[in-house]
Amino acid sequence: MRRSWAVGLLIISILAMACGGAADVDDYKAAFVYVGPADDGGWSQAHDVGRQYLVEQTGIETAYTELVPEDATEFRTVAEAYIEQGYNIIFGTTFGYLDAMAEMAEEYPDVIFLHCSGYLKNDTNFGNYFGKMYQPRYLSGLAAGAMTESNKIGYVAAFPIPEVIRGINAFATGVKEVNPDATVEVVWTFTWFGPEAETQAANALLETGVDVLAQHQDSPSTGIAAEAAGAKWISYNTAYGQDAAPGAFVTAPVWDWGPYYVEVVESIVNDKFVAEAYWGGMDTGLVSLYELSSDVPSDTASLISQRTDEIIGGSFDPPIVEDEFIDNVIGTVNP
Amino acid sequence: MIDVQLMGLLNATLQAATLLFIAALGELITEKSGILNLGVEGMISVGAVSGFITAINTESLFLAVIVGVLSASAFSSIHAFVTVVLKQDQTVSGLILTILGLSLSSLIGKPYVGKKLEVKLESLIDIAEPSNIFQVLLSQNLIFYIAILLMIFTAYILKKTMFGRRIEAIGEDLKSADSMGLKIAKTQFIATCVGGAFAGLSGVYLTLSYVPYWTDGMTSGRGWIALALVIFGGWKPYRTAFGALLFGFLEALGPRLQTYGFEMSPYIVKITPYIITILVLVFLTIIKNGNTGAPKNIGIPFFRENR
Repeated sequence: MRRSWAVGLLIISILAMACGGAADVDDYKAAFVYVGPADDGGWSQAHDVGRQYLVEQTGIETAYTELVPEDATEFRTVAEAYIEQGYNIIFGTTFGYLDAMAEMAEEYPDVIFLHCSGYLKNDTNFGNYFGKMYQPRYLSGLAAGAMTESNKIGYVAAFPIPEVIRGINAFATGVKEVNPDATVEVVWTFTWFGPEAETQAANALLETGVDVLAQHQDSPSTGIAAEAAGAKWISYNTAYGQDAAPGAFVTAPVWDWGPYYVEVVESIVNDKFVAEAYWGGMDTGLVSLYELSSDVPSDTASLISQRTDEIIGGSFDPPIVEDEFIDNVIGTVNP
Repeated sequence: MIDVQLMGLLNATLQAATLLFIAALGELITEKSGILNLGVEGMISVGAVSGFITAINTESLFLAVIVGVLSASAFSSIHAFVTVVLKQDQTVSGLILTILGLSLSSLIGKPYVGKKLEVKLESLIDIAEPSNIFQVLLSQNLIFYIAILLMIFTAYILKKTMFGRRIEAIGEDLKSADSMGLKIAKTQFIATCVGGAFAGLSGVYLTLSYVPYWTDGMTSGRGWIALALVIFGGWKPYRTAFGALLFGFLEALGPRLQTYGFEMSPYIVKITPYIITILVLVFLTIIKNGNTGAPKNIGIPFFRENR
């Protein structure tokens, strides 16, 4: 009887120690792996801004490697080097790291792997995260529909995969709401980042008479082409691209990864981490629409701010369609 | 609307062709002297980034073009030194030049990623909406016309001048050229640096006019298409120009096919230049008994002791 009391006390004191102290950010180091340059003005830069925010907010030690190709071996080499140096949280920020991360999560159970835009996870140390980019894309469609005079809008799109198709349909839904006569024509480039291919695609669209261009691409080439032709441009990823074509820039659906990075790292440090598939919407701040340029009509601007509130409040969500185009889109989902 | 699209296609064809042609013409001169330089991609990139940086900092297009051309030429002298002076393997050295050129331009271009170019090469005659082929031809920028002049000069120099005959002699038969007392090393060195200068001009055309922007991977394989183009053109300037128009047309057509309502995989459009090049090689081999026009000594280092 006395002995079981002692054991009970021991267990309680161990639990108390585990809960009470030891939650220290210095025990963790986070490494980020980017597919593009950290200052690409687009996708990878958005993640790097998030990383810097994470450092400011939590003081955790971080490191990053840029320009790591979407190839299993390349990712593994970089990630293993970090693990050897004691990094125990690894963020992989492009879809192509999927298989490598899934395998490494099994091999290194003490390291937490977080994969952006992937769909695989396990129950312990491997999760994925992404954002509802279709929400701000819908809002940008409202602006595009109001600004077109030729009723022709162009969309320079990367690959025909669900993420991109969903974005185009959400955009076209917004266009249709303010301008039922306008069409959205899609050209696929089959590259996430290809300044020349993007320029060619943008010019091909401009020649058909479009006067507003949107993009699912990582370089601002579409904006440069739009500006040269006197057209308007809806960018993507970050607002940094606007410096390349300030005359054409209207707005951009943008990423803000910082708050998510802080939240997930704090959950790890406080031992509350759950390996999940995180899909943050505008209510989390992960995705948003960048400030509108002054040439957006004021009634459109107020409609956009009204819809923004509805989306954040949960009373409205643009439809998710990712296996076909809605009726005001010209193009095909199976090129 | 159809007219605007057709003129747009023509314009894009000429732009894509100019970029490919200038680099290919330079490589043609280098290869004529018996030196294979696989570093075209790297040289274009070095020319592109140094021209862009100069244009941003000085806002002088003239200076930007000069700096782009000279830096790519200086960069190609690495290949000339390794292959002509040190007599090392040309394939390896050329590949290293490509990798080095791409990395070097990423490094020095880093602070300039995404910067807006305030000055860019404009059309000599500004025609707002060209409605026929002549107006499209007249609305190109200066480098396009320089490319045409370079084509005529190169064809003339190679065929009609003593200097051109010497280059060809060295590329065709090193030992005879040596017995005739030709300065092999000097000629090959110059031919390689001229090739680099041409690639630099092509790079400047890319970042000062065609895609006026700088970021990593701007050249996206153009250098390799230029190499295929030299083979397609049978080492002849005019046929190379024809090939450039054809490859440029394919490149311009790719995204436009989608706006015409045709759905064709862009992957197929992307590999077409290489397929055509292989078909031409096979065709020439059958028709002309293997005489594709390649200089006979290409890729072979010259050691006088081995005569």
